[in-house]
Amino acid sequence: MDEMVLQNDVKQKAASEDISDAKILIVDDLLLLRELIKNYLSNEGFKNLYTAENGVEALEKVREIRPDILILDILMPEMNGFEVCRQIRASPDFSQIPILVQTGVEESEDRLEVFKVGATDLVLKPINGAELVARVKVHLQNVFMQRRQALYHQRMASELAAASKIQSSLLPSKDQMRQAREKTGFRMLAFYEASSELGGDFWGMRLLEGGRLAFFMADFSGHGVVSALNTFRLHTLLNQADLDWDHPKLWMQGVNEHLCRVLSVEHFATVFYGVLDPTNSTLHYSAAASPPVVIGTKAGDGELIDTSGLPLGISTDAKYEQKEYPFAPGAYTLLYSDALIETEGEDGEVLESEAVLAMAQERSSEMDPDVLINGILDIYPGKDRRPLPDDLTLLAFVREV
Amino acid sequence: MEYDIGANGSGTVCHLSADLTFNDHEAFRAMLDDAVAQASGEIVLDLSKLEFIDSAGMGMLLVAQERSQSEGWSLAIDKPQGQVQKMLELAKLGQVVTIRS
Repeated sequence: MDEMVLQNDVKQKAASEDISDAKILIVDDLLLLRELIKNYLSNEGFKNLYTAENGVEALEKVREIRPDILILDILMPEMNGFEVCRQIRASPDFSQIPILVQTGVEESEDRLEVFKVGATDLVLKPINGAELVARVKVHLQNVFMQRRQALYHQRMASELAAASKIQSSLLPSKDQMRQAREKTGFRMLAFYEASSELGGDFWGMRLLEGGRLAFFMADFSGHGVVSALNTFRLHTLLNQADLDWDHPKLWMQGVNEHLCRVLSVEHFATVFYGVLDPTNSTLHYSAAASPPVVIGTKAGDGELIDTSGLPLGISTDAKYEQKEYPFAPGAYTLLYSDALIETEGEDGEVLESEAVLAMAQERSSEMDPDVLINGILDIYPGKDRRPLPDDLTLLAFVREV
Repeated sequence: MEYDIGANGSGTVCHLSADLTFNDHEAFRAMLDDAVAQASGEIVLDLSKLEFIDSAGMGMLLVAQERSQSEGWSLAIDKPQGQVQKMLELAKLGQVVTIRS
């Protein structure tokens, strides 16, 4: 609740650009000086001026009116200015308020002490009105600028978070995966975690006639907003375009032609598209530079299959190959985004595809996608870093016996 | 990314070292500008000292290729090693850019 109040406060304050709207609290035990300072400031157009005559009253007013700046005397009854500074700086809500302290020449030894307890700046007594006003303005301008920046960052962060949520919602849900398993006999699991920025990872699947299961995994080059927008583009394309889902090679060429039209030169997508066919126990696939895919069996054998190919979106002349691989009961396949093999661990080492294969083989006997994926996450060099440096997607399909 | 630009018998050679990744867009563009300004004939990107490339880095190579076509000079990529070579082969980049081992 407090945080929300504070955030609203920040928004309202930042929205008013004009520093003459700033709330200024003047603390001095002498009425004459309070009035003098008020006078200097109101002559300069400042409208929201408040006063307090001792330290205790100052702290109450700080909580009550949330001033944008404090002009504070040091020698006062009840509680002196040092203690006011200390208490304000100790309070998380007010630790950022600029405090402009007034000190007499005779208090020269105190001046260092003033900064130690948290004052932002000081003015010497007797007060020079023009100097006081100039210093107040400088500090208020800083405060207002910082608030605008904080607000901007806050808005960017919440927009990125919202976009990231939308992006995740494009991925197949647990329910869809369960239904696909019931209809095809392929058990699957995906791990997806976005990095702090938006990313370019995307995967999906589709049920085809004859209990076949089609799936793809794509990774757009670069990262950040541009890659994320490209995943939205691909999602739209896959739902609208007349793609040949039965023939991986033609699917790949269709997607490539479209991406060549919409992507700029330096952007492309690495893609793997596969169709698992239970009738002939075969994986039909076509690849465009996706990281090498693991394929193996319950018995512990396995290999990295060839996934080379020109990434999509580079050349309309590109031709893609279609390959087959046996996928009998007891077979599994494991796909991963390049973050898995490009993220450096603390020792600066990256994980090789061969190590991914070895771990998959070690975990294959249980034929459980969960066991496979957790095994890989265990050896992922970025596993202890949050947020992840790059989006990570792992995808496992198992053909039940 | 670090680089220096020199000449060989037939053109201008950019020697790239360290990594070519997302953060190198500006440096890579500046390097190309320099190379094009000095070039007579072919521009060669010598990758023999380049240790790592990611997808954004490959995108920059494609930008160089595109630029060579629109500006009418020729581009070649020389001696990729290790991970860089693996990545270029995986992406079959030889289909669109001249790559020499």
